Order: sequence, then structure tokens, then C-alpha cells
Amino acid sequence: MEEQLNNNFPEYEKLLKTKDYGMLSDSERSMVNRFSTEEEYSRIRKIILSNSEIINEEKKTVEPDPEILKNLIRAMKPVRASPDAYKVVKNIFEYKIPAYQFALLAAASILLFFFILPSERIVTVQKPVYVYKTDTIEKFIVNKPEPKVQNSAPINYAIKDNQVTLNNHTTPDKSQTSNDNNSSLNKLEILGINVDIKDKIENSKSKGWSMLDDSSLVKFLVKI
Amino acid sequence: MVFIKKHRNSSDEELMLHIGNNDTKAFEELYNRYGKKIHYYFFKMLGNDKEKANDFTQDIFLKVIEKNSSYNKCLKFSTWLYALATNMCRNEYKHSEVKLKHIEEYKYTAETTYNISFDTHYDNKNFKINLEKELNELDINHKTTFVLRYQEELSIKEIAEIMECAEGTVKSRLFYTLQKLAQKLKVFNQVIEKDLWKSN
Repeated sequence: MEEQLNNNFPEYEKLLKTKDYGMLSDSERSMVNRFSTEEEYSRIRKIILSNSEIINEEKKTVEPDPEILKNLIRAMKPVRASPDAYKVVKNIFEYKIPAYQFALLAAASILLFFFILPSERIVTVQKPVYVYKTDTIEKFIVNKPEPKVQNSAPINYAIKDNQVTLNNHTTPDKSQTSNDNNSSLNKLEILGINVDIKDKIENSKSKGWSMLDDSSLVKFLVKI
Repeated sequence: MVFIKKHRNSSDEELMLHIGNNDTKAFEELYNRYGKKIHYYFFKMLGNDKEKANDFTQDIFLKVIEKNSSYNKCLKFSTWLYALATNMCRNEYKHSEVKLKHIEEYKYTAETTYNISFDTHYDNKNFKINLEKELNELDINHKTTFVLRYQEELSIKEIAEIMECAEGTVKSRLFYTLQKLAQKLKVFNQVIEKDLWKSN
């Protein structure tokens, strides 16, 4: 019996689910009769079919409480609040993304390089530089490489009392205080621009210059 | 967004790996796949008790999170989950009597069945009520085997793995359970004969 059950039970079950006793073929009937009578077969078939009906009806109404998922997710976070650093690094290297996502990222990077970055390329622009002395403004046009910025303001310097002022920022004047006419070039860095004052303002005769005093103008040269 | 991980196509075992890395989306996907099934399994095993089924469902998924590291990747996830659920039910049976809830009580005797009206709907309903009653009175092993086979529709092999027994044992238990139920519900022979008459 045990051996017959082992071998034929799946087939017996299948017949129970699909056929009434009266619909069985001769070979099927002889196999079924090894396990049960006609009456038992009918009862067992009824049990299996009724059980299916019960399940189908109950599954429409029996559902888990929606709060369960929320509670579980809330419980999940604190448990893993401090991930192992080694695991995190390992996961970064093991992280897999589909090939199409990688291709999209590469294409986006290339587009960024060709279409966006050129607008920030370094170009040589002509910038007016205004040097203010007492009663006099001198304008120099310089060629200076810098990032292309629209409507960039001209650079304004004001020199007064050995102080070079740029747009209200005061920077220390490193020029020499000697009266030497051949003073070395003094470099003044103002926001990345090297300004060489070839001759000192102090070498001038007195405060105030006029446009008529050519020699004073010649002395004063701002090299950028 | 293009780069958000999608878990719908991931296997259960892959989702378990992601859950180990605190991926709540993976956990949600796994819950959506098995939450309702497991809940109904508990509902049937614990005497049609909805509240208990909710509690047990929450507990089992908490174990999925906490025991993630002890999950054997070689084992099919569904088998592991049902084995966990079965053990929880076994413990519950040991510690408290599982009573059938929310089933109408219908006491039947030989006289009652003789006088019963042959309204098919009423007879079928009573048959189902008593079937549930008899199922609930089975011992835990036979009931588990019956529920896993005819409710969860698992294979003999899967049931054998869950219950940690041989496939032959599963078949024997199923056969014995069917015969016992048939014996207990013998009084409803008239219902069966009427159904057979109607189908002919």
C-alpha cells in the first residue's frame, strides 16, 4: 500500500480534482479503487472542491493590516543605523547598474564637455584699466587672459598715499619709500593681476599733477 | 528617475541580499510578494483569527530583517519563509489551544440530516462550516500538510523540505488526512449525492 501510495498518489490527487467517479476510465477506476471506494472517492473530491471554494471566498476579504508594512519599515531603519564601513565600500564597488544606464551617463558627460564647458573657456580679452591719480585719470588697454564673462566691469585702480585701491578694496602698497628714481619694479597683486609700478608716486614733485606736466606722466607708468 | 533601483525583476534571494544592506524598497517588494500569502496561511493555521494572523505576519517579517544574515542562500526563500511560519505555528500550538473563531456553530446528528431541507446553498454552506471545524481539529502535522498542499498549492517536494520529512511521509499524511475528513463528514452523504444528481 505504501509503495502504491508513493507511486500513484499524485495521479490519484489529479483525478480527485478533475473527474467525478462516473467519468473515470477503466484503468483510472482500477487505480482509484486501490485507495478508496466510490463513496469515499466522492466525499474526498467534495472536500477538496469545497476547500477551494472556501479559500477563494475568504481571500477576497482576509488581508493583512496595512500598518504592518509601515511598522516593519520603521523597525528596519534603526536596526541598520550604523553600517559597517567596509561593507559600504564593498557595496560601492559591487554596485551594478544596467549597461544602458552607464551608456547614458557617458553620453551625458561627453555632451557636457562639448556644449557647456566651452562657454567657460579661457579667452584673451581687452580690458580697460583706469588708474586714478589726483585730478588725473589714465586709461590703459591691456590684453589679459581670463574666463569669458559677459559685461565684465573694467578694472579701476586708485592710487593715493602709497595705497592702491581697487573698487573700494584696499591693498597694501609694497612700493619702496626711497626717492630712488631707478626703483625696482614693485609687484602688486590685486585679485590675481600683477601690477608693476615702475616709478613711485612719491618721486613726483608734489601732490597733484596736471595734464600739462608731461614729465610726471612719463614717470608714472602702470604695467600690467 | 533613470537610476533608481527596480526590484520587480529581482529574485527573492537577490531581494534578501539587498535587505541585508538596509534597502527598504527591496523589503517592500518582498513583502508585497509574500505578505498576503503568509497572512492567510497564519489565518488558517491559527483558527481563522485575524488579529493573531496580523501579529504573526509582523513577527515573521521582523525575523526576515533580523535573521537576514542567517538565511541560507542555497535554500529557496519561499521554503525558508514557510518553514519559519510553520515553526511559529507549532510553538503556538504547544503553548495555547488554538480555537476556531468566527465560524457559525452547527451541530448535526443523524436525525438533523434526515430532516434537512435539500436547498443546495444551505447544505453546501453547512458542509463548508463543518469542513473547517474538522480541519481545525486535526493535529498540527496533518493540518500543516493539508494547508500547504491544498491552500498554498506547494509541491510535495517543497512541503517535505519545509516540514523536514521525506516525500513519502508527506503523501501518507495527505492521504490519511483526506480519509479522516471523509470519515468525519460522512453524515453529509446526502449533499454529495444531490450534487452528483445535479451534475448528471
